[in-house]
Amino acid sequence: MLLTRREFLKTSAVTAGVAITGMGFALHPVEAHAVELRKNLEEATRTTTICPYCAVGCGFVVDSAEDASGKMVVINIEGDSEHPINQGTACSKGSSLYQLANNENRLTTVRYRAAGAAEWQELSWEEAIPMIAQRIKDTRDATFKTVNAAGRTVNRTLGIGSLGSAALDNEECWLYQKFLRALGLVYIEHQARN
Amino acid sequence: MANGKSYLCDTTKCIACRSCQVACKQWNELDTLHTSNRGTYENPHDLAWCCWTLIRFKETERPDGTLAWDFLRNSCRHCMDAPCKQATEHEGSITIDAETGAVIFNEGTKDESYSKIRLACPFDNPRQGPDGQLYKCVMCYDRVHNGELPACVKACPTDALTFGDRDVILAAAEARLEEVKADGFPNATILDKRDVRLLLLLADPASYYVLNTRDG
Amino acid sequence: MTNHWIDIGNSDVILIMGSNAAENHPISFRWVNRARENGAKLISVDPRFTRTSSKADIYAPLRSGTDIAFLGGMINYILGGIDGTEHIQTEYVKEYTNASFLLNTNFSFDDGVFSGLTGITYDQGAWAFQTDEAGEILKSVDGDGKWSLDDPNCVYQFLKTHYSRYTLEMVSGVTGTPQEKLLEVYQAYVNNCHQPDKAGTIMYAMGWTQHTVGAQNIRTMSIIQLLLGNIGVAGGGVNALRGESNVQGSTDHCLLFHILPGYLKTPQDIWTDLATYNESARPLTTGESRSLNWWKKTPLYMASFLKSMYGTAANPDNDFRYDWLPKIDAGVNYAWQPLFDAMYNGTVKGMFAWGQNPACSSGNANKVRQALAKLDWLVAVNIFPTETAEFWRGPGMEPASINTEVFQLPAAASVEKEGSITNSGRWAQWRYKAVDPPVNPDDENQKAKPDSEIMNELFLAVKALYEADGAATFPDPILGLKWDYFDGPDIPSVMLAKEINGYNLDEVGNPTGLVEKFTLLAEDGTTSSGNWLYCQSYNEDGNNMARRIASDPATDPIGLNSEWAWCWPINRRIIYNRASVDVLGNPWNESRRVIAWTGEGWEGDVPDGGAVPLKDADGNYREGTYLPFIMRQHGVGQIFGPMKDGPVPEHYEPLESPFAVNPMGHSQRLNPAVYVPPADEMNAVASPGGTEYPIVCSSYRLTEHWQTGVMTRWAPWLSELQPEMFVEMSEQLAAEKGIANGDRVLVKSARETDGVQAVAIVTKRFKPFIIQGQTVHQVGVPWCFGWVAPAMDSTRVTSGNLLTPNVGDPNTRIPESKAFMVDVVKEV
Repeated sequence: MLLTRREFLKTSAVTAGVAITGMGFALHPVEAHAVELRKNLEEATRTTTICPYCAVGCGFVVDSAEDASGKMVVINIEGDSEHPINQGTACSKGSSLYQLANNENRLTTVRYRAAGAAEWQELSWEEAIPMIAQRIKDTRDATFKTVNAAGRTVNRTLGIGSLGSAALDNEECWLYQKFLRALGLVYIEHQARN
Repeated sequence: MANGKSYLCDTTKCIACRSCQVACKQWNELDTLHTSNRGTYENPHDLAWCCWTLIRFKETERPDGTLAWDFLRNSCRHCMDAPCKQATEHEGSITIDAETGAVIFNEGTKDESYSKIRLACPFDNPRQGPDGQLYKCVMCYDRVHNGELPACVKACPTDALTFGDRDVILAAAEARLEEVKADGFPNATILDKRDVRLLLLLADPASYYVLNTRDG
Repeated sequence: MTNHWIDIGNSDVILIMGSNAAENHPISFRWVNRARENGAKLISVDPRFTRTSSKADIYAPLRSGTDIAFLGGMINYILGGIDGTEHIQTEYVKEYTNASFLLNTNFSFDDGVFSGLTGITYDQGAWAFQTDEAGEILKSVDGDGKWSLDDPNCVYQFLKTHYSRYTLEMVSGVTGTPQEKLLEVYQAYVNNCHQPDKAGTIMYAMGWTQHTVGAQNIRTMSIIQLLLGNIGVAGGGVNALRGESNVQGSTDHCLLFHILPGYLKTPQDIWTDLATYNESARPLTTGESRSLNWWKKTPLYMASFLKSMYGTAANPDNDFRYDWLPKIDAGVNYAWQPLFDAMYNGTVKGMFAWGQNPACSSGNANKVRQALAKLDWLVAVNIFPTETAEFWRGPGMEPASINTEVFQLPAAASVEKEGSITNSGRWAQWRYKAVDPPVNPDDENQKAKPDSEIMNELFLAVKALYEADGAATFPDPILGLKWDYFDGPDIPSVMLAKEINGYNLDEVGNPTGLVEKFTLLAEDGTTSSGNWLYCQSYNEDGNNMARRIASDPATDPIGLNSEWAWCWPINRRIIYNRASVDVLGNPWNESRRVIAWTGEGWEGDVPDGGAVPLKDADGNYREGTYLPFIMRQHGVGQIFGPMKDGPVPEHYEPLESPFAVNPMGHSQRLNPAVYVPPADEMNAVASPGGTEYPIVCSSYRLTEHWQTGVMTRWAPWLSELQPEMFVEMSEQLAAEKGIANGDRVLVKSARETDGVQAVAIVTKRFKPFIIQGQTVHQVGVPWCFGWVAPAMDSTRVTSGNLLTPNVGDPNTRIPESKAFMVDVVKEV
């Protein structure tokens, strides 16, 4: 769903104005260019998304453009007028989605807190992944039971648990449960119970 | 301009989700204020150079014992004959957009007297930014010129905010008023409909709402 | 949701209870308003007058934790116990529910307890129906052999007796709702939707689930909806407003201890092989010959699931590697509560907190924080810093004494990756990547990654360790796992989506194409499907979840939008829709037709099961067709249905409540099936009716923040709107406590005796209740605040869940955070 804004507008903007308001909203985008949009959506790349907050499943359109360094950044997110549930509208959380994509507090660094430490230290991904993998193996091997107290096959570990995640995509949920169940976890829980 | 554009803010449909407040900031790239909770959901506590739309909350017990929790949008009403513009001393500091009728504060408002412009506004809207310029809602006139709804109107999930040609909005407002009156609110009103482009439709008496007025 | 968001617009009357939809699902009000434009009434029942209540035609207050009493009164009204008139949809109740089924004569309800209770465990066999020699359930029947409601032993008559105790006076004495307000709500709801062509809907959320009677709260409403003929129809149903964007999908894929993807039961130790599993994990016999009993197909789905898990390693001759799946011990619970108990006692040593913030989201969060401190290691994957990843330097913690190693991995946000999520109406919708995940401006090698990429790297690293260790413990499921993705730099979400959908497989197990729909799945290893419910989501002609055709209201007046995205099961937009028609297949309401029988087939939505109508055109019952509730064992709606805590709901007091006895007048104060762990220093409970914590409290969310606020508190525009923790209280309570609006106060509970810091919102929207002659105050706190954001400050004790108990529903183990006891004092 990569459309230029012009392609997108062909179907959405005009009908949206009329359909949503029913109030004779009748400026014609093709003719009215005397005033430029404060965000240059004309040059933007437009993708569709679904809101990551509640489970209404509202559609949004994301406009992205290159910043001064040539990196693609999100310049605008607002409701998807074609979406049958929210029809272009949003709540306050949905209206703030821009600040999820553009936020100086986003985590971008792998951090490690050693036992007893009072501060984080940085690790590279290449350092962190083997460290975690080793801990998974050590804990699994130390706690894995092929049979339970009744002598029945269980092939599980009670030494590792997992919480999450209703924030993952379906494909990631599938992959995550596959990973966890291959390790032998049964303590698998997520937001449905909390 | 024919009759330009208008908004209808139908308070009977507003659920105070404040999507309008945030959508305004998103499109107009407005800064954030540091706020605190003052014993109400309402925040920030006032309009600001970076807060052009503010939903006010008020609780009132009706004579029949039911509770009214009424929400009202405070923002520029876009006067048909804008007193703020009349109070200017510099050409072009405040302009009226020919197509829409939007009242627009330009960079030249830096040179105006803040107190004079603010006092001139019957609804106490103008606020001064750190750069000296005066700010308030501009009807997203850039969006409107490009075939888009104002950001707040587009974002409103319950159609409490609608926008369109003034004649159409006026007719819709009158029709809706009759519906609201028939639905148990015989004293429902539309505020200042002849004088402004942001029409406020109230179901309860005006004293049940926090109105933005010069008189406070 | 049995129905979906747009469908709310088809309702004739809407009850919002156990949720605050205007606040927490604002877009739902677009559709609530649509219904109201067509004349629908809106009813809000809530302890607190909310943003939802502000728009309602009727608002009724009730004390937190008394919903069953409130709705039990509604059942009594429906059954004629209040105005002497039955208000049921008679044909629906007779034909499509188990109201006519005969109960065994030794079934009883005595002094607050159903028959079959030992300790805290019910033997559900004590609630079995009467059967004939062939095992067929006996029903109340009339002279023509039609199901009727008259036999004194039938469910319907038991229901009448059971709920006759729920008089207006009794209910008001439990809930605190004025009697005239109760009647007003009962009349407004029931009288507007019991007719065959009318529909009422319920919008509920965690306000119903987070109780020691949570599942029974929903059962009560389900019974009401069945009696009124509201399930399966447009504008009806039982609609849970789910709170997280993909909590539906993550539940469907079963990131839960008790189920495997597609709601297949998790294997238990006593199910020693696949054959035993297939016999035990589904109902084999139904007791009702007209029941399709869909779950009988479990073996097809399980074999296809195992093929997706283990690929070519899984074959019929090795039980598809059933033994590789971890097993739970029969009768043992591994849910959230026991998990944290096991962490607290040292059994759980390593933990993933993947996109979740239990240090703020869990009931009794103080115990959670102490349990985290006992871990050897914690891996937290998030897009922002959280109270969980930072628990070791949270309020009251001493980092030097905490030996937990913590790894904080930075993840991509939703617009930085591609994939699908499933909304509350079961619509799986595809979203696209707009930009790359963020890179650290000071170090370009440091960057956030999509979760699937992190999982891939972790799994491959673990697998490499096991490949290198010839003596490793049972490496088979790791080494044999089908994990053949990611051959390029891009993460192919599409590849995973296809694996979930499933493939047809040739004789050596290679895929030959995507399975078209789950009715084509096989038991013999010739198909794979990661999750049978999602089979059809991705077909050979494309990704159905990415479809973008919104329907035209002229041709789709009820707004099914069947070509927008895709919905499970099999793109059925309204579940149990074969109950939306009468026994001849004619819609109860032609203008809101969901499906209709043309004489040769069904038109409209995808019909539930597709069987022909129960009767032919001449009005005779057909042979060989099926009852409409195909997922239910008996094929009918279960007015009488076995839960762990009883076959029909009864009001019990919350774990913590202002009353030492049940105001219903029997001696069972607390739900008898609730597990209450022994009280310890981390798990204290206020004594019922005690004076130390005399105020009822409930927790809730806000429009402006999401869940624990761990994403939204970092969004400055939202923190500007709702910057800090507060507690809402009545003017009367504030006066008693000497508290003024805006004062800083402390909210204390048995689990947080120092108190949570909050700003007092003194409001007319809370009013004291007069119950049993006593004034009962109620307050409320949001649970979306913490100490990490918007500013790191570990002196701020501001999480609502520090107050809540972690004792909950016997069916779900969801903690009772919607009704507990506190005290409020002015901060000095």
